[in-house]
Amino acid sequence: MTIHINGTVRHREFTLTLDETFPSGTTWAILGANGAGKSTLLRAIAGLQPLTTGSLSIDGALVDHADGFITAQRRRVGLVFQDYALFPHLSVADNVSFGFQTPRGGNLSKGRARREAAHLLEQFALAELAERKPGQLSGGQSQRVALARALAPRPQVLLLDEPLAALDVVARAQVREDLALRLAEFTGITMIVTHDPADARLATHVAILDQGLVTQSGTVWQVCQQPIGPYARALADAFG
Amino acid sequence: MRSRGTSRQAAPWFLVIPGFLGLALLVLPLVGLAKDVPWSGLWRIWTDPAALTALRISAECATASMVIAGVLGVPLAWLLARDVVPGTGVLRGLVLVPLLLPPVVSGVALLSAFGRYGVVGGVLFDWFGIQVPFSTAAVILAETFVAMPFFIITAEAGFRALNRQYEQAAATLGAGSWMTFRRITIPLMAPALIAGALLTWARALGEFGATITFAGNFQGVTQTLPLDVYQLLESDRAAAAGLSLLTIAVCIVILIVLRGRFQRTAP
Repeated sequence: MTIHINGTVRHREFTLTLDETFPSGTTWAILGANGAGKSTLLRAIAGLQPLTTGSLSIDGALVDHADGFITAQRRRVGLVFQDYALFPHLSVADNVSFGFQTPRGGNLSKGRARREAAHLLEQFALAELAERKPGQLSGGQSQRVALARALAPRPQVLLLDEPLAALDVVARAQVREDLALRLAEFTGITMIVTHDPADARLATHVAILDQGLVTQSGTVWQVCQQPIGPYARALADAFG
Repeated sequence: MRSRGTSRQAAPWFLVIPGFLGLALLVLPLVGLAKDVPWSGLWRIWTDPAALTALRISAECATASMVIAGVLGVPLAWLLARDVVPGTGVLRGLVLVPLLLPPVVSGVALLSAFGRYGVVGGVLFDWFGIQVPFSTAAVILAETFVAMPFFIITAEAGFRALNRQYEQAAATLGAGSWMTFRRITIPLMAPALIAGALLTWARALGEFGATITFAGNFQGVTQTLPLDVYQLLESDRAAAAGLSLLTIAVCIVILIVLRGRFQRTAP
C-alpha cells in the first residue's frame, strides 16, 4: 500500500508541485514554514482539494487524475484537523460512533456503532469522557478524541494537521508521547504536518516543503546527514 | 461632577435627544392604542366567535407558511450561501424583492400568476378545476410570498457562518452528503433556522395587504386577525383596539423567545 502523487495544486497565487512516493508502513513528518503548502498536501490526499494537474494514487487506485476524482467520502483516508473539528453538538461517544455509521465505517446501526465507539474510547483511555461535549474537553483530550474519531472508519492513511500546535508547551511534550504510542499501533501510512522539527520524533521519514516544493525527503536519519536549508538544519540540530 | 464607579459610557446630547425621539415615534402609537383598549370588555372581544375564527385561520395559515418557507427556504438558502449556481447575486436580489414590494402590489402580482387567467392559475383551472384566489390556500400563498424572504435571509446567514470544517470532517469519515446534511449541518444550523422560522411566522401572522388583495376578506375562509381588525375599525373602534392588543401580545412573546438569539453569536 503506497501513495504516489505527481502533480500540482494551484490555490490562488500559490502552486504546490509534488512528485513523491510514500511507501507502506511509513510515518512521515511534513515539515515547513507556514504557507509552504503542507496543509494543501494533506487536503489533496484527503480529497478535500483536487489536484490542478497530474495524478494521485492510493494503494494502486487512481483517486485523482485528469478524468476522475474520488471524493473524500470514498477514500480510506482519515484526517485529524488542526483545531480538531469535533462536532460541537455531539458528545464524545457520538463523535466517534459517527464514523462507524457511515458506509465506509461499516454502516452500523446506532446501537452497534455506540458499542464499537465505547470499545475504541476504552482503548484511548477516554471512556470517562464519553458523555462530554467537545466544549468541555482540554486540548489534549480533544486531540485524542479527534484521533479516535478519525480511526473509527478504519482508514488506510492517517493525516494529522499540526496535531500539537494548538497545545501549550507543557501539554505538548506529554501529548506527543501519547500520540507516539497511538500511532505505533496504526499500520497504514501516517503523515504529520508540522512546523516544529521536534515533532519529527513521531516519524520514520521526513519531507521538507518550502514555497510549494519538496526540498528534501527521506528517512529522518538521511535528511539529518546532509541537511539542506534552515528546516533540515533545525531538524539535524534537534536530533544531533 | 460625574459619579464614579459605573462602567456605563457617558451619553452625548446629540445622540440622546434624537435617540429618544426615535423611541417615542415607535412607542407612542402603542400607548395610544392602550388608551383606546376597553380593558373591561377585553375578554368579550377576544372570545367573539368571529375573532376566534380569525385567530384560528391566522395561526393555521401562518404555521403553514412557516412550514413551506422552511421546506423550500432551507435548500434555497443553501444554494445562495454556497454560491453553487451562476448568477447567485441576481437570485438573491429576486428573493429580496417581496420584502420591498408594497404588499398590495404583491397581491396583484399573485393574482396575475395564480388568478383564473394567470400563468399558473390558468393551467390549474383548465386542467384540475382548481381556483386559488379567495381561498384559504390563497391566504397561505400570500403569507408565504411575503414572509419567506425573512426565513431565507436568516438561513443563508446561518449557512455562511457555519464552519465548513465540520462538513469536511464528516466527509473524511465517509459520510455522504445526505448524512452530513441531516446529522451535522442542520443541527448546527438549528439556532438560525428557529430564528428564521419565528420571524417568518410573525410576519405571516401580521400579513394584510397581499392577503386582502389576493385572498379577499371572507369571514371563516380568508379573514385573518389583521383583516378582522380592519373590518372592525369601521363599526367598532374599541373592539378593533382590543383585538389589536392580541396581536401585540403575540409579537411580545416572539420577541422574548428570540431575545437570547440576537445576543448570542453563532457556534
